[in-house]
Amino acid sequence: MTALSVSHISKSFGSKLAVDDLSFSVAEGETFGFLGGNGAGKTTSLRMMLDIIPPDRGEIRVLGRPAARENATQIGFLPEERGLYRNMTALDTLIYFGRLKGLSGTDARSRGLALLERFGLSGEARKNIASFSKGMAQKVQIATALINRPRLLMLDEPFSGLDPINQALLEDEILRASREGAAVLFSTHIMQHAERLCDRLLILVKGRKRFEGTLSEALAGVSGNVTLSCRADPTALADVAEAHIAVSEHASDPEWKPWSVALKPGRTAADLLETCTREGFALRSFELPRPTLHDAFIAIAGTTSASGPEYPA
Amino acid sequence: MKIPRLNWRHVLLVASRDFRQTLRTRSFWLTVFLMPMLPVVGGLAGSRLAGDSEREKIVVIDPDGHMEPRLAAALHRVAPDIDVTPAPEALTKLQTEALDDAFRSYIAPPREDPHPPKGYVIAVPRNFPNDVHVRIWVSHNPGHTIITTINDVMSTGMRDAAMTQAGLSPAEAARINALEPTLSTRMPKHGLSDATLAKIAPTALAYILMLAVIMSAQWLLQAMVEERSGKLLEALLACITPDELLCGKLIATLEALVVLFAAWIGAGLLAAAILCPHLGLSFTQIVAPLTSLRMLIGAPFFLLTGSAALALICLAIGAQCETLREAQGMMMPVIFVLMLPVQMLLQMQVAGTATQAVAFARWVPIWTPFLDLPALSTQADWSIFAQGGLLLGFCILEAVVLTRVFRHALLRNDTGSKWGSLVAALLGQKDRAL
Repeated sequence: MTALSVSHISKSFGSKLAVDDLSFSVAEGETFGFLGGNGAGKTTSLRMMLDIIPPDRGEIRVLGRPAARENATQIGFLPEERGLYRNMTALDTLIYFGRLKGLSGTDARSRGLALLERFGLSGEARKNIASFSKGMAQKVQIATALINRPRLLMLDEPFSGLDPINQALLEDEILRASREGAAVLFSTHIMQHAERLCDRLLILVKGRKRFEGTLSEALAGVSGNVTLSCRADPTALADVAEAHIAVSEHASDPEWKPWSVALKPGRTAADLLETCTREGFALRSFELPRPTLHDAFIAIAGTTSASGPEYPA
Repeated sequence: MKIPRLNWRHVLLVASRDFRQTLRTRSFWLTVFLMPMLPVVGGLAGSRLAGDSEREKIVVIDPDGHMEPRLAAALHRVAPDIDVTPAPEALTKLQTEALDDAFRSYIAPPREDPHPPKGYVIAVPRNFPNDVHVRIWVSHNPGHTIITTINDVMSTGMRDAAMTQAGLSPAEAARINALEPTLSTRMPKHGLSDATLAKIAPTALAYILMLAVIMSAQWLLQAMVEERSGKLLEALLACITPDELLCGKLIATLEALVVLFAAWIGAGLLAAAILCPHLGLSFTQIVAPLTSLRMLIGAPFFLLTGSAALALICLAIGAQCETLREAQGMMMPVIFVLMLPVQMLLQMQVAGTATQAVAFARWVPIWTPFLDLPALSTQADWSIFAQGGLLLGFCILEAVVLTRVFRHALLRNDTGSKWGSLVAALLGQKDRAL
């Protein structure tokens, strides 16, 4: 079942177009990465999905219903700007947010206690947030998003500002929520987390969708440089667009030099290897480094003309 | 005009949290308990200070010894605590010119005594009343009563002597000197008319409202800024609407004000019960106006609507600001503009002056509760109903307009002029900085 469906939404603030004709959907049990640089429109899109601000155009459906504040009972949300009431205890904070999300007082209390125990804070349940370390407060913030066992978990830049322990904790919670059937959507500009967690991802550039698909689909469109170890200059080969000598700490034999080779558009590493074999071009090594999501993001977000690589959308 | 639909469960949850938060603050309890204590502490301190100032000492130099007993008796009649003593014999022998030097050290207060007595030296000339030059040295600005009494005693002495020399017997002279009319003065008890006594408690309610509004502004700004500066707004707004948040905060404020009103009115009644007998006032007469049906219905109505009208302004201003200091800076001129006329109008109403201006001001909703509370018993029914209705309508209109301001401000993240942003929101311009 589709947990979140966004269809052709747009939003402007004055003359500034923040989100432009955005469409995508997230299925239950799926982890969906919402990627983009600063000012790409991620937070505005999330606010529209939460009904904090309305879209100018388009439609948003959450768990089959139009986007509305009533859906908050099914949604867990961790905003980018996070804070807590400093003079409330951790447990009271969780009970308050749980009740705002439709839980009864008893359910909110038992769920809050369970979460605090899971996060190693059961001994601090009745202490004021003001006495907490930053890391402890971050755990409580994460718990407020999970208090109502959400069917749709929306996280805005969830890893920014978290210490490494809480980053790992949040990754575990995202995977747990996904395993339990919740749809997880998180915005980020840190690619390593998206690479580890996402089933699918969307890249937003200046309010417009530039890519939507799986990680392997994102990487497929990225051609990384081939590294060769050879005696002759590979620039003369037909498949090579440009080549330069790469810096290597292991170049023991000055006769064999490491070269970083960029291929011509449409040519693959296999084509280059075949050309080398056919033309008797002597090689000592032939390496094809695996491109990362970061490479894919740079390639996609950095492409501004239609002449760039084609990506499925 | 679209009336927002509210989820009352959310509203009451916000109200309950905010109310409990206010109850946990020290400043709230200081306000509740300290304010009623101030008049008592002030009164005690005043009487203590007044007691210190009454230490007075008078030395009388009377070489012939005729006038000193009469002076002492007369001065004790007007100031029972005064210490009147005859001068040491050595002083009486000094020449008049030498007395200036002798008394300089007597009159100058000793440095080691922080509360020196106030001193007088009265030198009655030898052969009084043949010599009528009475000299008085004073260490301070002399009291009018003391000087008048000295003058009366010395004048009486001169007239006695003159009449005796004219051939009257001393007893006859004394009788003539003692002649005086019997004055019968009729005035209202304690100078306060029944109508004035009936105004005391209702006017006190108006002042309580004024103080409560000023005091509660601080908690409201604190509550509003806490969420904005604590970066809680977005997490809250994912669950509830801005209207529900505003409404919850307003209810929490009114709850806190009810506690405050109850404490202050209770303390006022207790103080009146204790002090009235000492002041010769009738407690029943003062409290009676509060027990009329008009007051029992009208006072809570005007206290609550008046508080709400001003609390909404505080909330809208608090929502514009990132820090408490910034909010206080914005709130100060607003409080000044709203409350200064109230203070002046209340004084005019109590004094019974500028009745036209006060009657007009009653129709200005923001001032209505302050001016109607003291006049609930005396105004016409239609006038109270109309002004109450106008105030209620103003509160509703204010809620709708200020909700727009509140919504506009909540997710604003620009750094421009707060007043400019407030005016833009009031004019219905769209936020360009979300």
